[in-house]
Amino acid sequence: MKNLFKTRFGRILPILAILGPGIISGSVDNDAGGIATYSVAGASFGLSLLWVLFITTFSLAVTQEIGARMGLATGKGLASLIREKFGIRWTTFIMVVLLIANIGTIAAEFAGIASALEVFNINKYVSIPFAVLLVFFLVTKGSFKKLEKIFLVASAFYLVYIISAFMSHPHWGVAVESLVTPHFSLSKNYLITMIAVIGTTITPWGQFFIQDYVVDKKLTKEDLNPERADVFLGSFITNFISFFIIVACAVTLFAHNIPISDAKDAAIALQPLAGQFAGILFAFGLLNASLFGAALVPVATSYVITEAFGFESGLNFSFTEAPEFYGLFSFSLFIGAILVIAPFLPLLQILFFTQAINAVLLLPVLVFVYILANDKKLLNGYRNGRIINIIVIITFALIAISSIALLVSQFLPS
Amino acid sequence: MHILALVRKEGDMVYLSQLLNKPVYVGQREYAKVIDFGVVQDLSTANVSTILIRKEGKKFTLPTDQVKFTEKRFFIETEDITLSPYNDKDFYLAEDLLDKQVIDVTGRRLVRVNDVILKKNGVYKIVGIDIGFSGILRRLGLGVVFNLRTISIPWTLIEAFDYQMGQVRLKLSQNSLNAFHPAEIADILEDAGTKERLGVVELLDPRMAAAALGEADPETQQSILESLPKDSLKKIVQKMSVADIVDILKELNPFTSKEIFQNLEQDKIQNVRRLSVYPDNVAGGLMDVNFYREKEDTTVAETIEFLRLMRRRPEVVVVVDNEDTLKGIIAVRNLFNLEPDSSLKDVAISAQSVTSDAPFKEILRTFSEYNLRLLPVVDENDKVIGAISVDTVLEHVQRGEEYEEPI
Repeated sequence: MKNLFKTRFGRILPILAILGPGIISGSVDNDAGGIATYSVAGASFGLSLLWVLFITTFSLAVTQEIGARMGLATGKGLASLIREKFGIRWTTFIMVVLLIANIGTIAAEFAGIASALEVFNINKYVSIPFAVLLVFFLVTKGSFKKLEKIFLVASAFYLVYIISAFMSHPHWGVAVESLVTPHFSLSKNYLITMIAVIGTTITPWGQFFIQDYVVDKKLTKEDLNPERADVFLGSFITNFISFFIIVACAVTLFAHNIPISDAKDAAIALQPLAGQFAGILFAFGLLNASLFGAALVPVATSYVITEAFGFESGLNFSFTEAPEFYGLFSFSLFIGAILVIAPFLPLLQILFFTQAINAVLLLPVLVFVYILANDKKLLNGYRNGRIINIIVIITFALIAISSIALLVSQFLPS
Repeated sequence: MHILALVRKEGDMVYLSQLLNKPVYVGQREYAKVIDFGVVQDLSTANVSTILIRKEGKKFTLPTDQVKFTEKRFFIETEDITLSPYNDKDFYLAEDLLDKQVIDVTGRRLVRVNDVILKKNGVYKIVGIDIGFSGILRRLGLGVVFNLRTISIPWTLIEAFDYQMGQVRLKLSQNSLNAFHPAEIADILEDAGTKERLGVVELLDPRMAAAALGEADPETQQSILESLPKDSLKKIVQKMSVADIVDILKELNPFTSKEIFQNLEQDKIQNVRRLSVYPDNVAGGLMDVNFYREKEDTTVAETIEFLRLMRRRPEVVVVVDNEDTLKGIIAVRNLFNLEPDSSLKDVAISAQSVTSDAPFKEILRTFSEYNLRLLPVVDENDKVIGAISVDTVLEHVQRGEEYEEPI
């Protein structure tokens, strides 16, 4: 497949030869946590969080572009760059941050699997152990590349949100206006939903993922512009779909004052299209996205951490050749799953709060990315431009200010 | 490992991480902070010659003999301190070595430096690097908690890069990398960063670089060839086999391809053009046009004499007549058991052959059925136009497994 792309289409349309990293990374962003967060955002606050989505589209495009550009210029992953520039202590700090964020994301993926299967009356004590085993064997025995392609085909599921949104006849004028009309509220729920929307769109692991992907594909400086097009397109598509999820939920749930408490509620957003089959359709889409995320994120976690500390890493190695790699993979997979099995945590809360945690943990990652992306010695002509720096700073400020506001709101009378 | 045992016995072993960011005193007054150690002269001596300090936010270097290190403190005893400006072209241990990847010459792979082991014997001398997890724990202050075995590599057995430029900082006048197998170099090229990759290639003998590139994956080949300076590209391409060039041209952008064509000899260009028309998976795309052929009237003794003169001795002689028609093949190792005066047509065994459009499946079957090392490729008049070696077949099988996964 790869050869065919490279030789035949690659020469006619260079973008086809490297199609992938940005679009894959973007699609994965709409995982279990993404669907849940956007659904809650639309159901609880209607269209009033769309402006955050609008800003994060630029944030996502810019941070992904930085990752792709740094990978392309240096041929090294983000973990390697942090290690080489900041030394072992900061590397360890950022790896701990990443591990926590990723275990949260993995928990969200398993919560997505459990929620999807609850629609079919399979409870989580059955579905989660089964899913863990499935993921474990798919990744360690099967080919990971195959999974990627299956997922990409199945992620066409998101198109149903676009159709459903149209069939529910929203006021498009109001929706578009909401995109560019900032709306700020000090309500605790509004703030945490806002943080979760940012956190599910731009993630620590996505930042490491895009750079490793570009490094793996050995893209050269000549691929920079096609690769930029790829990440911009990927970011746009991701949030284009998110927009319709929020709109569909605003019209079907918010307008009728239906709060979301589980997957069955969230599926109501698909009723204009699928009617009584909405629940099944929603469960299928959620299951697909969650399973892929549950396989991809533990592997990505393991890749990055072993890269940072110089252990053997990769699925080509056996358990005995790369014990750290498989150890980290299993550890993050199992801890993520155990958090979901724990009886005291409702699935929706896991799906939702892990996204907010991701946003806060993104802050230190952004600092390192910012410093590295402006390093003249390292990147020379491939450093950040001014506009890119401003967008990174705005993203940082948006997360930081809303997190602080959330903290303050805890002490205010509601 | 053995070097640690060696330095422990002599005492005075110290890790770089234990010296960095320590204050340096003049009398009782804190004068500056030690931030790095430089090796300005020849890297092979491994003597630390300057100490880099940060004083009031600026970087300066000091000769090592002005600074004393006792009881975990640095002292300057001399009255007139000779500060020199910091020159980032010099080799510094924290800047260029610590936390970076280096080439492990014995293990023939890239390893990451977790710490640098120094020995004090009048001057500081680099003894080796620590690549074990224990080095990481020590630097995190957890060395006491988990007492793991140190895994180290002697300084003489690594090659380091310049962090900024990516060039390999060779310690020895003799280039250790040329002793690697091309496939080992290819593995290193696939794992190294963009600058380091080019640094390695530029250091290699062009013949070695060409062979290593031939072994590397297509993405790495493309990435290197498109970034090499023109003169290095020229030297390397001239040493590449026609078959490798044909493969690589499919990956490259038009500018680099043109550059490569301009640097090839005329007959090679013709061969490349001829081979380029075949797809990868038929005999024409797999064959090499440089193979050893000999006229049928040549004697065994003459052939052995020719073979002696060759740098890379083939395994098989393809025997042809004056029109290049295939007459048979003979394994080189069998030549020595034959009557020296007999001519090749009398000793050659009849050869299997395929036409240039034969599919890979047929080639693979012929190889395994007849236990071949080399399979001649002929045109419609039975004239030999190329030959496929067993190595090419194995490589194709392997690549097929990597790429042709079902969706």
